[in-house]
Formats: sequence, C-alpha cells, structure tokens
Amino acid sequence: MESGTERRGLLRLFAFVFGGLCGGAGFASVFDPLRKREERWIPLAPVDQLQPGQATRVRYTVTAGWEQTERSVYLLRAGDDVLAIDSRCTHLGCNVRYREGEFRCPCHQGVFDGKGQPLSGPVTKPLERMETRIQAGVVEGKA
Amino acid sequence: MSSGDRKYARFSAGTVALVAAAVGAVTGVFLSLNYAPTWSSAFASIANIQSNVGLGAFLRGLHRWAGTAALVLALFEAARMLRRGDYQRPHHRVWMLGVGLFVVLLGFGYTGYLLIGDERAYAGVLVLEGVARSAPWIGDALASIVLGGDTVSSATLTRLYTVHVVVLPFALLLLTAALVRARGTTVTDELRRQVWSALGLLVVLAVLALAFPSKLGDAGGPGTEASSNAQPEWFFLWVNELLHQLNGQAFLVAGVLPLAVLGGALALPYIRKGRKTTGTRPELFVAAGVLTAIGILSIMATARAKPEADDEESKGTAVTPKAADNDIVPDPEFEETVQKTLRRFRCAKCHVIHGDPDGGEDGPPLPLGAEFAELYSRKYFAKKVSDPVAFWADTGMTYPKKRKPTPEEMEVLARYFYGD
Repeated sequence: MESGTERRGLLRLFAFVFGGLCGGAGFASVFDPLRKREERWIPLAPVDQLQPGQATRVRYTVTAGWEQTERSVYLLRAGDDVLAIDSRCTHLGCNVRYREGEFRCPCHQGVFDGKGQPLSGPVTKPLERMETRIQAGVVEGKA
Repeated sequence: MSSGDRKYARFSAGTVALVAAAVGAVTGVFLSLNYAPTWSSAFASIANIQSNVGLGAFLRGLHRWAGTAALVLALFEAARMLRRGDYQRPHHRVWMLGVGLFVVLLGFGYTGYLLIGDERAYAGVLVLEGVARSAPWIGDALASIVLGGDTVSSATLTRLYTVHVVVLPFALLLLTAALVRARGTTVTDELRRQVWSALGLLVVLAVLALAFPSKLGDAGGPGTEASSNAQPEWFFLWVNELLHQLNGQAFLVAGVLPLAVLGGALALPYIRKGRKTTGTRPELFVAAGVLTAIGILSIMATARAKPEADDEESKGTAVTPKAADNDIVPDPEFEETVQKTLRRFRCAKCHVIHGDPDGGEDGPPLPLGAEFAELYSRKYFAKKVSDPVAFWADTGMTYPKKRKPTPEEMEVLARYFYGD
C-alpha cells in the first residue's frame, strides 16, 4: 500500500498536469481580449495619399468579437490632422457621396456640410466621426 | 475493505472516462466564453475560436477528443463488466448508473456536433426534426418542443446549447455522485495505477488535439442548402445508415430501437439474475452481435457518404421533415426565378443583398429571413415594393424609375426576403 505522502504527491501531480493542460489551453480564451486591445486602431490609408480639399473614401472591416462589419469613412485632410467621417447617412443608413464640399445622400436628399453637419433634407444628426491618429505615415481610425 | 470492493481494485476504464469528461467540462467552460448559439453566430464564433483566439484550435481539439475518449473508455468499462458478470448483484446499481452515464456522454456528443452550426450540424438538426415528427400522434408537437418553434431556428440551437451546458452536466454530476456512492471510493492500493492511467490519458488527448484538430465545415443553417450527404459523428453513423436503409421508419429506428437497447441494458441485471458468470454467456454474444451490426452499418454509412455524384442515391436519403417540400429543401427553380426577378429590377445596383459583394451601396443593405423581417414589416414591404416611385414621391427621394412589379413578382420577392 502506498504511503499517504506518495498518494498526496500523485494526486498533486495529477492536479498540476490536468490544470496545466486545460487551464493552459483555455488561458487565452479569457485573456485574449487584452492582447487585442491595440487592434482597435485600424489602418486606413497612407497620409500622403490624401489630397487637401478632397475626400477619400476608404473601406475597412470592424471586428468585434467574432462579428465583422464592413464600413467606410471619408478621410479629409485638415492641416496636420485627418478628419474621418462615417459614410452612413444618419437618416436611414444609405451611403453618402462627397461632392463639391458637401456630403449628399442619394436616398432622401439629405445634405451635410464638409464636416458632416446637417444642412438640409430629412437629416438632423451630424455624420458620425471616427477618432484618428497618424502612425508612421498611416492614418489609423479607432473602431 | 469488503471483497466486493476488491473486485474494482484494478485499472478502471470508467474512472479514466470520468477524467476525460472532466477535461471536456473545463475546456467547455473556456469554449463557452467565445460562443453564441444562434445560426448566424455559432459558426462564426467557432471560426473565430479556431483562428483568432490564442490556442483556440487546441482547446477545441481537446474538448472534442475528451468527449470521444470518454465514450470509448465507457464502452471498455461496459465490456469489462459484461465479461466479468459485474452487472449482477451486488453491482447491478453500478451497472445501471453506468448505462445512464453512457447515455449522458452520447448526449454530449450529439448536441456537441450540432452546436457547431455548420452544414453538417444543419443536416443533423433536420434529421432530428424528421425523427421527432415521425413519432405517432404527438410528432408535430414533439418537433415544436425540440425545435423551439415550427421550424429549425436559432431557438433550436439555443435549446441544444442549454441541454449541452446545463442539463447534461447536471445529470453527469448526479449520476457520478450516485455511482461513487454505490461502488465506494477508489481503493487506495490502486490509486497509483489510476493516476498514471489518467495522466496517460491527458498526454494522449493533448497529442490527438495537436495531431488531429477539430474541423469546421461550411456555414449552415436555415436558408442554406441542406446537405444530403452530411454525416453525423461516428457514434451516430449507424442510426443514419439505418434511417437510410429503412426510409420511412424514422420513429422505429431512432425512437423505438434506441429505447429498446437502453431498456435491455438497464434490465440486464434482472434478466440474467443469479446466472453463473462462467461458461456460455448469451449476453456476451448479444453484445458482440449488436456491436458488429453497429460497426457494419457505420462502415456502410461512411462508404455511402464518399461519392459526391449519383444524385438519385443521395437525394432524400436521410430523413427530412415532412414539411421539407414546402420550405426546407432548397428549390433550385425558385432560386432561379428569384435571381431573374432581382435582375429584372436591378435591385443589386443599389443594394447589397444577402451580403453579395457585388451589390451597390446607394441603398441600404438587405439581409434575408428573420433579419429582414426585423427591419421591414410585411405591410411596409408590400406598400413600398409594389410601387416604390409613389412610395417615395413625398420624400423627394430619387428612387430609380422602374415599372411596378406584378403581384406574382411581389410574391416571389416576399417569399425570398422573408424566407417563407
């Protein structure tokens, strides 16, 4: 018969291996979101491709958990800064078009000014903006 | 220590099976963090576990192999008890609880592969629906209860999920506690062997999870094509093959037969009460016969699943629900009509329909089925689509000028978008 010490040692060994294997495999499931925090900044476009006075439409994918959504923003250079304006009309969600310094919605004639503020039509809320930063010459937007 | 206890004082596959179940439980808790039981999410969330979550594929592999190992080890234990006549008094309770545990393990495996939400799972759920409907008198009511509604939906997946993560674990705990109570705790003499067996199992599971990771098919669910070729997990292959061979006898095959086998296994201690455990043992022949039959049927099922072609052979082989003709089996002719209609009105010029990457963006994206119904009521749909120009006239919207759809075309579009 095994001694109590040996028995305890064996059980401890088992607990260690069992916990190590299952816990180790599951570790990332719990803490993965920490690793992915930085990924909320999405690279959009090289800043030198943006012409002053023009709006450049950029498509990107937002990943939240396992859900992915296609979005697009208009990037406008404003001095050293870059303005990122969401292309979805705040009325019913059609994509607005940039023309002559204004954003126009093709669906219900909503018009926004060059900064996304509502001007005319059925729209009352400004277009959404995305927080931006420039990293190594690339405009990144915060999802 | 009584001599009765001593009978168990050796390697017990049953104990190691419970260790495998414990691995399944712990890995399952972690998996559940990144899973949602709806048809639109299940597959995507598992794909995410598989490729984006650190060690996710390994975790899935462990979970799945743990379940497989638990089943195989439980079978070993059953074989050992049969061979030794251990199902007889005074151990009949242990035998019966063991049979119960085996059923619970099967339940884990069954609900588990359906929860993946891929093509194979959808085909499996359709078979489940067909079997439920085939029950006499109460078939449709039973199907509604199983499905959580009249048809397969996310409510079905959620029900399966609840069974998998709440009901079955609870049953497993209860039965294990009762089993430990019935047979007493492990004899300390043999603890060393038990622990080393369990450690060996952990190593084997880790190796299997690395070498043979779990697979993920294509996304499935209502609105997708029901694959007639999909096969269930290996332990249910034989049921599918029987369903195929005895088409139309779903209730007999998947209802009566399993219950009869279960009843026979539970009644065994009473049928073979007090018989000698040496010499000719009919129960061994019966068990061997059943296993052989299951093996042959499984091989036949695998062989049948291989060839992709031969439509006659694969069409309608698995049991499909009675309502299949109306709404579940996809209708290529209807699909053709829909595409023609959509092209006629150039809907995709402005709308992304069902995620079609070629769709235009001037109009809002249009999902299908329940998602569509959530966005647009039927009244709104009828009013707007039957005469879009008039509908938008007051708003000043520049809807492209086009002719009004005919009532037939309206019906096609409604059926398509609402998934009727």
